[in-house]
Amino acid sequence: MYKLLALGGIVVLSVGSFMSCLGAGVLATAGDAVLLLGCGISTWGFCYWQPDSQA
Amino acid sequence: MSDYERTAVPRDARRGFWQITSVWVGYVFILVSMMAGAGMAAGMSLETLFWAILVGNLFLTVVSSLMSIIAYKTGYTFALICRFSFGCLGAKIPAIMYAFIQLGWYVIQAALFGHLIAVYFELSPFFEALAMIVSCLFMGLFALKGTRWMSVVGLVSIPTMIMLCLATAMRAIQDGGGWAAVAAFSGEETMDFMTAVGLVLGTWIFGASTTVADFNRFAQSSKHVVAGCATGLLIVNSFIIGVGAIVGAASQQWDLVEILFGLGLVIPAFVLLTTNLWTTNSANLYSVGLTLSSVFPKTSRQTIMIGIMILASVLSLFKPYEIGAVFAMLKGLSIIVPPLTGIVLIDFYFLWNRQYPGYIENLSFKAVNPYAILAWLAGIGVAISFDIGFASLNAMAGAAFLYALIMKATHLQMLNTGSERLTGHQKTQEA
Repeated sequence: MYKLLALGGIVVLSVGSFMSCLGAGVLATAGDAVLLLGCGISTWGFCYWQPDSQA
Repeated sequence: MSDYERTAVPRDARRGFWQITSVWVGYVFILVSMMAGAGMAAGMSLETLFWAILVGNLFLTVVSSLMSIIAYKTGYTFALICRFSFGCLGAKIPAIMYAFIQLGWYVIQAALFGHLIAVYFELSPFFEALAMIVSCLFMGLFALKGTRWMSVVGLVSIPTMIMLCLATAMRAIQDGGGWAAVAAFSGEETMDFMTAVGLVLGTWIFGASTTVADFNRFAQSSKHVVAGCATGLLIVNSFIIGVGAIVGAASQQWDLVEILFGLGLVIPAFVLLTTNLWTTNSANLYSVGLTLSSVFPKTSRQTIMIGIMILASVLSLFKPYEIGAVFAMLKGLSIIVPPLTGIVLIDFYFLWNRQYPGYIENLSFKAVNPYAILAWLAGIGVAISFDIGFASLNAMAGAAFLYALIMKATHLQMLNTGSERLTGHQKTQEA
């Protein structure tokens, strides 16, 4: 579960990064939100799961 | 990775390639390198700069591989390895130097974060100074209180930085009129090739000489060691400096904060700088505290860290985020550190015939080797005096040659009599 959140968050933040940097107007603003959301999800996941752990 | 500080890492505690390389890559990923790339792009053509990045990182990879092989074969930390050439007290000199270098990076990065806030909120110089002081103190508080969250945010910051760096470079190229226009950009030709290589070396010469050994003593094979060094320096460090150069060439300025805000990338700028500067800087301060507390065992780590935070706050008032200050630090590092590396390398590969004794906890060392210190200073002198070739290489070769010559001539042994016989049957074996 937390592994999924950690890795899924990375995918979300990656999409958000490109939307935010390469988009314009509403798309860029949405990208900012997606980027922050991805960082949040990934941080939540990594709080409970890390690559060395077995969880 | 703080185990086995005073002994060799045993074979059964060695770790896999990715476990070591991921930590090392995370450590290499710093925004000051990107800033240096942007600054160098203003002073030379992009093509020449890419060659300088490649040559500089190739040199760093060779140095770090040679140092890491010593650490892998012996299982010792850099501080322990230094005892064989500098003596047990003399080995504290590189430790103190390490602390001051980390302090330098701490001040630069904390000031950069304060500058980011000042630019965004259009603060006056007084409030910019205040923002930099608060950054120094606030980042330090996290280092004082917590270490677990630093590893969590560290795991998030690596992919975030990779993606944001790529996306920012693409955006800068787009706004700069396409790749052809950016590639054709040529700076004011104020910097030559040798200087640029020296600056690239300065970004990681200390880490490539010292910290990398501390990571790679956990390696399982010499192939892993070399592959890890190449991944961290030749690929990742080249990538970061290269992205900085492209963004700098496209925007035609060195100030990373101004560049990102100029492109309208406010949220990405805050995310990029917060995840990177905040985490690496807290780790920097934590590391300085640990190092100095081992040098000054009677003073508590907290007291040392509070002292460093106050000192850093005062230093941040000199605006160290400006490219001139960053370049001065990189140039200084590129001639001060290589002689130290040269002495350690020649000591292991030539004087000790690639085999340090095992069981260092049983060995008794002389306090200080004055010849090693003399050779180090002479190496720095060589770099300053000779204006031919690479200053870093001159410094390293000069110190190594002089050290080997004096040690052979004087027959000085750094181990006290009896130690060698005691551990003679326990020579370090390669796996």
